[in-house]
Amino acid sequence: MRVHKAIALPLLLVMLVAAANLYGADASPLLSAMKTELDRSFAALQYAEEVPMYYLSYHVTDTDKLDLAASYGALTTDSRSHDRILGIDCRVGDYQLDNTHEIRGEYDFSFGGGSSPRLPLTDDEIAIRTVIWHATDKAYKDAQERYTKVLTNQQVLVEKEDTSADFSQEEPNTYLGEPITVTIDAETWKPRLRQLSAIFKGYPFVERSSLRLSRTNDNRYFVDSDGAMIQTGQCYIRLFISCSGTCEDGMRINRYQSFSTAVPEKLPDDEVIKTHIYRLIEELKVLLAAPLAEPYTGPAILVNRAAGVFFHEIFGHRIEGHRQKSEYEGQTFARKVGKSILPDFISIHDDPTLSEFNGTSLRGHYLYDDEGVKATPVTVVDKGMLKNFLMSRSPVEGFPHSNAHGRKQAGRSVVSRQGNLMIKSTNEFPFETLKEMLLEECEKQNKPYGLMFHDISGGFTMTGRYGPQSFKVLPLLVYRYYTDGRPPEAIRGVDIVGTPLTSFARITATGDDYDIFNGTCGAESGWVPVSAVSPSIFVSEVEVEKKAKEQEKPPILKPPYQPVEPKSILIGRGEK
Amino acid sequence: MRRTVFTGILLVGIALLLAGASNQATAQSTEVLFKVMADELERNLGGLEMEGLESPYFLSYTIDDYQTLNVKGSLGTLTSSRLDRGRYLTVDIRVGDYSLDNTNFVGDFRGLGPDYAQIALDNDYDALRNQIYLLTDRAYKGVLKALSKKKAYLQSRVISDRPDDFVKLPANRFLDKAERFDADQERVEELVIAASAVLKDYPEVVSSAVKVEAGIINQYFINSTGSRSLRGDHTYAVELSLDGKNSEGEDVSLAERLIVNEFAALPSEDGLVTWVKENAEKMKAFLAGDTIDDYIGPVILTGDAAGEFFRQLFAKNISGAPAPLCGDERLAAMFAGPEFANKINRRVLPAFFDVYSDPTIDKLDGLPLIGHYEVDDAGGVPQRVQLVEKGKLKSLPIGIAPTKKVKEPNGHARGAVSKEVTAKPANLIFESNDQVSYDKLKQTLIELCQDIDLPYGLIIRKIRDLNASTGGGFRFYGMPSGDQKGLTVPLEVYKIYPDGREVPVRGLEFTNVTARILRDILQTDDQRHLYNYLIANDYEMPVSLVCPSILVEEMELKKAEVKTQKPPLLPSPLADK
Repeated sequence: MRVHKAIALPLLLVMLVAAANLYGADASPLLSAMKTELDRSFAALQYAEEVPMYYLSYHVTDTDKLDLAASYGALTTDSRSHDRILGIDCRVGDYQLDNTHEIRGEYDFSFGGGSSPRLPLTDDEIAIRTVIWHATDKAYKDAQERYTKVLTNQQVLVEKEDTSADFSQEEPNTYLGEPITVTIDAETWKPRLRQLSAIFKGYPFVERSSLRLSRTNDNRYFVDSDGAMIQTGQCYIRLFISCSGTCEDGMRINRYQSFSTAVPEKLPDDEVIKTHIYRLIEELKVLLAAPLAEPYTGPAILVNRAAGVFFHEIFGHRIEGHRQKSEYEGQTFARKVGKSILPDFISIHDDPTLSEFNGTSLRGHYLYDDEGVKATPVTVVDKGMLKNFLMSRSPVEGFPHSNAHGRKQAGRSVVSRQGNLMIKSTNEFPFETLKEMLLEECEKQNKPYGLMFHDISGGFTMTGRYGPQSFKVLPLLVYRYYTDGRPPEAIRGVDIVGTPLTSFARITATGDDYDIFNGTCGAESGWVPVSAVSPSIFVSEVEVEKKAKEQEKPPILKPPYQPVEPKSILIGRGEK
Repeated sequence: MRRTVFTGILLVGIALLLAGASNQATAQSTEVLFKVMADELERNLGGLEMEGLESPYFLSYTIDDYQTLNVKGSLGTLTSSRLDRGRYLTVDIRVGDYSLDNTNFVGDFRGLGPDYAQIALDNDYDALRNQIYLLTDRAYKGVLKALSKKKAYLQSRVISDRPDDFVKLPANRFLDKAERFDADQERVEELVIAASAVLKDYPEVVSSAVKVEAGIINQYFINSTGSRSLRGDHTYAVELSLDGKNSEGEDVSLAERLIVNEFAALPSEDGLVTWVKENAEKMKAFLAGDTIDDYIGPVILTGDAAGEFFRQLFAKNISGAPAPLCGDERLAAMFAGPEFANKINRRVLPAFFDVYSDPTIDKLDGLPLIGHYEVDDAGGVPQRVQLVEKGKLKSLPIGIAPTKKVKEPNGHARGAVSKEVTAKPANLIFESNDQVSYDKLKQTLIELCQDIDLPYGLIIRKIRDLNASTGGGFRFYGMPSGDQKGLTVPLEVYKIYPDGREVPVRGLEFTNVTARILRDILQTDDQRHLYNYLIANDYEMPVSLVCPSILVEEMELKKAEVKTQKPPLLPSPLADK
């Protein structure tokens, strides 16, 4: 008896947990309408045409957005929008070969987009279902047509290198989260934005500047013919401060700072915002007068957030599963699984289940991906060795299942994308030590200075097969650290270039100063929110080249208003 | 004479009561906006100079302060509802002189269209002035480059009778009051819901939308030759679009658009519901109607169809900027200029037609005309211009750029928000001196058919709005829009038999239509039909076109080549309600 009891208790707990999950919130009328129409469509259409439909899913993104912006003390944007966009994944054929199969030799001009119907904003079942019905009919007929093309393409071309299936089989999930309905008080923020944006008026070298606050409630609804029923939501709040100016030689300099959070209470207060505004102004001033960089090869430090962007661009995009499969892709890492691609003191996970890091919201957080797969932490690199790819439900050789990285912007088709890219090092040093290492390495290599990258705006990485497998990242704030004891010097007009595998091999140590890069990443499936968490990294050699610059001179006339007396206590970022 | 459906329907005012506070706000806008534009205009005219290069000889600023409400619904629900407000600043800065400046030249694909920016919504003097200053600076550098390229181009070519680039308009002051947005979002939403709900009873309509748009634009204009104007415009549009499919999978589309310039002129809820019902019934009739493979013979165009016919074949061909000099031959084809520009004193219509454009009249036979304005978009004084006399083209609408044959401005400078100002018609009135009754017109049609052994003739009541057919798809910024050749598809076509019986025909399109067909109009009826349209979408450049029904001697139509998908595999959810 006792034994039975002991077993029964955990069982009951499990059931309770499951029940809580299932009935934590009610299925919204929207989700119910989607489910009703899906069941009706799938039952009736499955064998209606020559090629059977084996899978059908509906995905609805309900986006409620508020945007406010101010510049030079005046409001410039005040807008709200609300829409519901439907996405349909209709698959005919079978898991192995279906209508979504890559057609070689043909370029897809729809960019994964195509038409995406808008659904009623009110929960009227019949009206919602009628729109879905009409769109399903079209999707089904289009799928039949494309499947025929796929078959023809298969017959006339050689076999592909990767023969894995077109779609993976996954367990259906049920999760009914509470809808997200976060509000921020626009009326208190408007005067704040006006006031704070007026600070820039004191500095005539600032040409353009703005403060922008946006709040997006992004609720997603998903049903499929395997029985999945999911409703989840995220709130994305972002405060973005930016300013720019023009150097005498025409180069445009941009400085910006953003704050991301999921809860309005965690937005910075006026004092914090002011500190950042003054810092940006000072950095802009320094950069406008800074010397132009020369092409250079030598040691460098990428400061934590800059390192996060670097990993996101150069590493993250190359471990997205679909890139290992497409015949158009360079497939940098396709054959590297189990092999060392990074120094053995670095491990990398992508973990969308984390909502925060050190108390700050992570934008790459989600519970279920856009194909209804439950998020879990994925170990991508373990002690330098490549273990896994970020997978959607499009399998690649050796990776037949999704690990919940199928993501998309509303109206696009899913591909595998990053979530929270977490870089972890076991070769950590305090930042000061890292700086010493930089100078030592300079002396060893006989270089007068090393480079310190504080801020990187983003970059380009060529993963396509028809281009070189190179990357370029665009630093915004770079300092030279001299070996002869001169103070650090800001320089402008630098791009970092290189090839990924050689660049990774040159990471020799890291800091212990983990920090977050929160951003929005654009790729084939549109814009998705992402995060990367990284320590600063020390690289024995980077290559930088001159940036292409604008040719237009600074404004001819002085700004029209009388500058306010500028504040004088500004702290540069060079001495961190 | 009156619009068919709306005759006698009780009109509703959904206007909010004027609030004292917002009147004050618009007065404040007027004061600040003019002050900031005037101050920066003066400073820039005197101050802008780059080493060895010319200072501007002309400068104008336009601020379009707009507010729009856009509500769209389907089957008794809303699919979107947006209230937007914005302010756009457009600058026209010119270097050189009136005879030769930086304009009317397209060097390459870069830098097309005017310089514009979105500016502060608040009446904040410093912020606004800073934005004007930055935009003027950018624009000045751009026009210096354009002028040097244009001069280089002219040096290597001989170009005869090139008209001046710009007309010097006399200083003009016209200061109306700024208009206030008066559409109530909630009330409009209710209207859209009620009107679109009607379609729940029509499962043969596979997709449908009811849209109401309401917009005001207050335009503040100032230039360096002493003009200053403020004009407030209201535009309201109700749109209905229906797509149906019959049991053979054939598609039928119907679209209706009603445009008025005051809220009170919109139909009531009951009126809208009746209107939607009538169109849904019409859809059923077309789905059950006939198809024909082709038709060559006489055609009557009546009501909106006659309006759209004249819009596409006449109005479009007298509109737009004169063809610019083009640095690249491929560009020349895209910027050909108005087709009738070189047809002055030539026959473009039958001798019994007179046509004029007159922005100065706000009513005709008691009907409000939406193409009325008291100052044009370049500060010009609007004038009536006789375009056609006894079938011959006599003049063109002229705004700020003279053409080879017509050089004097006549107050027809019109532009959309943030777009170039060019010459466009306003109230376009077609007068016929060969009128018969509509019944007599039908009789003539039948007789013509019998002469050539046709069992029936065709009457066309609706042609697809040009905006609707070019609105979607790619369009490069700054490229001229509406490059549609011929005529858009007819949406409502009826066979008429000798006994007077009419049968709807679906799925036809026009072939071989050119502006030449205007001369094949045999006769007109004695009615004046008012057809309102917008030259650009988004509440801009309204035109009232007034014309009779017309009988065209010969038109060619054939079955539209569309890829017909099979009928829906499942019945609409509406069917098993």
